[in-house]
Amino acid sequence: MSLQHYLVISISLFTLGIFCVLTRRNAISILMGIELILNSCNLNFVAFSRYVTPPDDISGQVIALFGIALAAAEAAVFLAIILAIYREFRTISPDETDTLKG
Amino acid sequence: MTINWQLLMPELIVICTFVLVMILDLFDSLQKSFLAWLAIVGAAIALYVSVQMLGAGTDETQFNGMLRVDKYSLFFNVIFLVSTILTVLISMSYLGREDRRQGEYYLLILLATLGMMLMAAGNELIVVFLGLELMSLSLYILAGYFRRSMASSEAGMKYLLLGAFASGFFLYGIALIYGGAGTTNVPQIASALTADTKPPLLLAGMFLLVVGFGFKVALVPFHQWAPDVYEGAPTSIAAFISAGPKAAGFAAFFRIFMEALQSLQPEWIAVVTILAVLTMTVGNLVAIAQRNIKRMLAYSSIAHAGYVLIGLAAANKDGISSAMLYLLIYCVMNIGAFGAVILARTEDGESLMISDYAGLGFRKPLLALFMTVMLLSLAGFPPTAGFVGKFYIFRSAVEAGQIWLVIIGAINTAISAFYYLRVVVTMYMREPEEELDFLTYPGSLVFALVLAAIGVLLIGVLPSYFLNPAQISTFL
Repeated sequence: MSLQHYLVISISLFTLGIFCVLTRRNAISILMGIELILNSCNLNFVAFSRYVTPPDDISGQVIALFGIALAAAEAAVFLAIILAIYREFRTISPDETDTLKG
Repeated sequence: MTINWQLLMPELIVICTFVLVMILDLFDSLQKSFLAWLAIVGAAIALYVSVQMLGAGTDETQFNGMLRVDKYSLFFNVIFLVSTILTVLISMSYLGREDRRQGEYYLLILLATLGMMLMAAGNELIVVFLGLELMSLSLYILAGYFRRSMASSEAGMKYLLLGAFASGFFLYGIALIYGGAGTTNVPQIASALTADTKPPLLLAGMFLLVVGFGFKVALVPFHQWAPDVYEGAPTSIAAFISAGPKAAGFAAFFRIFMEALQSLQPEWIAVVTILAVLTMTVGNLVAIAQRNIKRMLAYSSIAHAGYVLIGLAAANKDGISSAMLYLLIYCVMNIGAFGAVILARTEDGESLMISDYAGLGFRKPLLALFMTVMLLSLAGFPPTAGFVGKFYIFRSAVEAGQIWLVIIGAINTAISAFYYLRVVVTMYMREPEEELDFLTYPGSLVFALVLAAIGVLLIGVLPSYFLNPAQISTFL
């Protein structure tokens, strides 16, 4: 396995995540797409830390840990807001929640 | 490694205030407005300390070069803390005395302020990112704060979906820059890059960072969330989102692009110039068509981000310092304008349509006066601060040879005068369609508006007292 392999996997994950965010009609699926994007970033950090920087520099791996913690925090806030949305609208599709228009 | 805690005083004061408000929120017998005053006092002390440190000319790094407390970050601290104080002041009457959940509201505002301060002081891409997320996560919750209101919940969801999406781009950009330069430390990136080596990884990373920042500060074409969020969120929070977080986004934007990615300057100046033109033009043109005043202010704040971007496109010391001054002015006048919207509340609810403001000039002279001052300043009329801000921004761009950008900016200022003055004309020239019962003026809100109006006129009359600190505070 070389750096290129990891980068190809990471960019595929990133693209799949964007595709998922843009096409899905359910807020939870969109959140999963965002998680894919964040995980592709983490994969990048770890791969670069292994192949690019000197072996004793592990800052990339530490950053990946921050990334994981952050994704969890985001999911928690997101699910709370989704719950509030569901109570009011009885749906969690961003297409059907459309009180705001200009 | 020894930590010089004194350098972190403003941040520590905000954290202490946060903890105090959190603990005192547990006591039900306590008036909730006490928590608001506590937050204001905490922010005011942090503001005082920041100004003192700014005067002393502090410039040191902390935590192995992770944070850089210099005049630049301290100047931005002043902007953030001023926005926080004004926001809390306009929120107090807006939330009402009965609301038992006010504690969280002030907590989240303080937490968002802390995130902004970390963003401005971040000397490491990952610190900037964590500050950005601390700020954004607090704002997502604040945007959806009125849980019983459909519009507010929806604003929270939309803000979160698009904000988290943008964070993904931002983090991917950081990852690519880390791969290209081998570090995420801002000065080390700058020294790892020289003018003749331009690895494609870094270019890709730079574009992703532009997208990420573009979402956070609402640049066209990444602005779609802004009007919906401003309309749906509580008005006081719309004021907050349009002020401090935008300044924080620009603070990190300037530091990363002017310092870390300096060798890619030819590439990013082209991108930033195009974004500035698009942002100003689309923002102003769409604002003309708005009938809801919160949406109009949303598009106007998008347009103002375009003016600030001219300072970055100029890419010189004057450009950055005038953009910093502009952000300070913009925060004060924009929170003032949203505060005037809150003040125009009637017994039926908020006056959100521009037509609701008909005839206010005679029936509510004080309110109409505040609104007029803020709108004239937003439009950039002398002797208000808005004129000073635009003048220095345009001058720095002329010095950098960006004549076309200045011409487009000037045309846009003329377009924007149309929709700002339309509100003023509606207030003074048109008869109201129906009689509305206005609520009495709450003291804290009037106090905030007086402060904002004094600030706007003071900067407008004595600009050098504010421009000079901005000029000595750039990191260049």
